[in-house]
Amino acid sequence: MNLDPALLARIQFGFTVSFHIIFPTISIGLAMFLAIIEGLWLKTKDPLYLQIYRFWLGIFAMAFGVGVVTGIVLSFEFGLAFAKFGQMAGPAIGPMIALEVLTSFFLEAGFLGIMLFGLHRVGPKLHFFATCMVALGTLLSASWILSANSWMQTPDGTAIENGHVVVTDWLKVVVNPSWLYRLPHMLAAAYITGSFLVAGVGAWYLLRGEHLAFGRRTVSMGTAFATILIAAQVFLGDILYGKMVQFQPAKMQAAEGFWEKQSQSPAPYYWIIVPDQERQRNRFELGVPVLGSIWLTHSLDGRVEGLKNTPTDRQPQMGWVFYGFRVMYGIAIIMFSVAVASLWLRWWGRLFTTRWFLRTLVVMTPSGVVATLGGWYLAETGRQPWVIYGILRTIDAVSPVPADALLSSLIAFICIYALFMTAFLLFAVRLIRRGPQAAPAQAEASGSLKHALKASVMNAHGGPKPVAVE
Amino acid sequence: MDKAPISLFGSIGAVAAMLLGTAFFFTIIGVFGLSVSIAALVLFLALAVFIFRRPQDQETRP
Repeated sequence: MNLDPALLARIQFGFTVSFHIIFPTISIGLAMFLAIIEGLWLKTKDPLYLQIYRFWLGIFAMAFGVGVVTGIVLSFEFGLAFAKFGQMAGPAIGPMIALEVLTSFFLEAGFLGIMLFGLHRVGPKLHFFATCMVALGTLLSASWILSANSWMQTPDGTAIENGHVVVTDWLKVVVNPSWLYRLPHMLAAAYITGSFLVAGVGAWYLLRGEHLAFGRRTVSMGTAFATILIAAQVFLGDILYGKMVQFQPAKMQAAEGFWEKQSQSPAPYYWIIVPDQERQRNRFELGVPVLGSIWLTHSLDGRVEGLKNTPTDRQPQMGWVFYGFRVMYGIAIIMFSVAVASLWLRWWGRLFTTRWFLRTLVVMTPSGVVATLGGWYLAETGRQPWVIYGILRTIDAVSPVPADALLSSLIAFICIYALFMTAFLLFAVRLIRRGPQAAPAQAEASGSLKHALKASVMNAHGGPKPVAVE
Repeated sequence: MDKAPISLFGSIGAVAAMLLGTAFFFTIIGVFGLSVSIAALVLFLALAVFIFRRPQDQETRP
C-alpha cells in the first residue's frame, strides 16, 4: 500500500493540534473564571466563592497539564512532519514561540505552584495575585500563538531571500493584519467555553438536587458571563468575517458553499451542502432563502462570491471549510438563544427552577470546545493549499520523511492521546460526581502517581476540611 | 403572576423574547451597519446587566 507522506503529515498535525486546542481553550477560560471567583471571595469573604474556587481549581489543573504536554508535541512536529516549513519560516515563527515560553510559560511556571499548593501557605492576597498571574500567562500564551498563526494567515513584515523568510519589521510580524481581530475572537471563545462548562456542571447539580448553593451560584455566574460574552463574540465574529473576506477571499467563498462567481439573487444561506470539488458544484444544497443576502451582503438581494473566483489549484476543500464554519456558527446561534432564554427566565425569577433550561445547560457543557474546534477547522483548512498564505504551499512544506515513520508516529499519538483523554474525562467526572464539598483545600503532593491512583486514596477526601456552605 | 410553564401570557412573552433576541442577533451581526451594531451590542449588554440583578426562585419546577 502506497501512503502519501504529505497526507499523513497533515492528518497527524490535524489530529494532534485538534486534541491540543481542547485543553488550552478550557484552561484559558477557567483561569480567568478562577481569578474572578477568588477576587470575589477576597471582596465578600463568602465561603461559597472559596468552595467554587477549590472545586474548579482541580479541573483547571488537569486541563492545564494536558494542554502543556500536548502543546510541546506540536513544536516537535514542525521538525518531524513540516521541516521545510521550519527551515523557511523559522526566523519569523521561532522567536514568537520562544517569546511565548519566555513570557507566558515562565509566568505560569512561577505562579502555578502557589496557585495549586499555596492556599494555606501564603497570604490570600498573594494567592490571588498568583491566580491572576496564571490567568495573565494563559492570555499571553494565546496572544503569541495567535500572533504566529495569524502571521501564517496574513504574512507581513518579511521578505523572501534565498528561499528563507527574512524579517524586515518585527512589529508588522507580531501585529500582523489579522491578529488584532483573531485574538479577541479566540479569547472570547475560550471564556465562553469556560462559562458554559461552569454553568453546565452547576445545572447538573441543581437537576440532581445536590449542592444547591454551589449549583445556583455557578449557574448564575456561568450564564451571566456567557450572555455577555456570546453577544460580544457575535459582534467580533462579524468584524473578523469582513476582514477575512478581504484577506483570504477563497476561505470565505468556500465557507459559504457557493461555487459560481456570483450567486443567484437573492442568495440563500446554506446549512447543508454536498460539494463536488472536481466538478465545481454542489450535489445537494439545503438552505434558507434570502438569508444569505441579508447576512452576507446586508441587503435583501445581494449576491455572494463563489469559489470559482479562485483558480482550482489555489482552492481549499470546500467541505471542510464549510462544515467547520457551520459547526462554529450554528453553535454560536444556539448559545445566543440560550443566553436570551436565560435572560427571559431570570426576568421571571425562574433561572434555577426551570428543568428544561437546566437540561439544556447540561447538554451545552462541551459546546464551547466543539465550536472552537469548528472555528479552527475553518481557519486552518480555509488557508489551504497554503501553509503560509501566498508564500509556501503545504505540499512543499512537508519533511522528506518516509510514510511508514509518519504512520507509526500517528498511531502512537492516537494511542497516547486516547489515554490522556480517558484519564482527563475519568478524573473530571469523578471530581464532579464527588461534588464541591469533597474538593481539597489545596492540592496535596502524593509523591507517587501509583499511590495517588489507588482507589482508597482517590476516594479519600484529602486535605483540611473544606468550609461547609450548605 | 401565573408562573405555570405553559400559560397564554407566558407563551406570548416567550415568543416576544424570541423575536427580540432574533432582532438583537441580526442587528449585532451588522445587518444594519457597524454603528447600529455597536449600539445594539451596548443596549443588549445594558439590558442583560439590568436583568442579572433580579431575584430568583430557589425551588426547581418540572
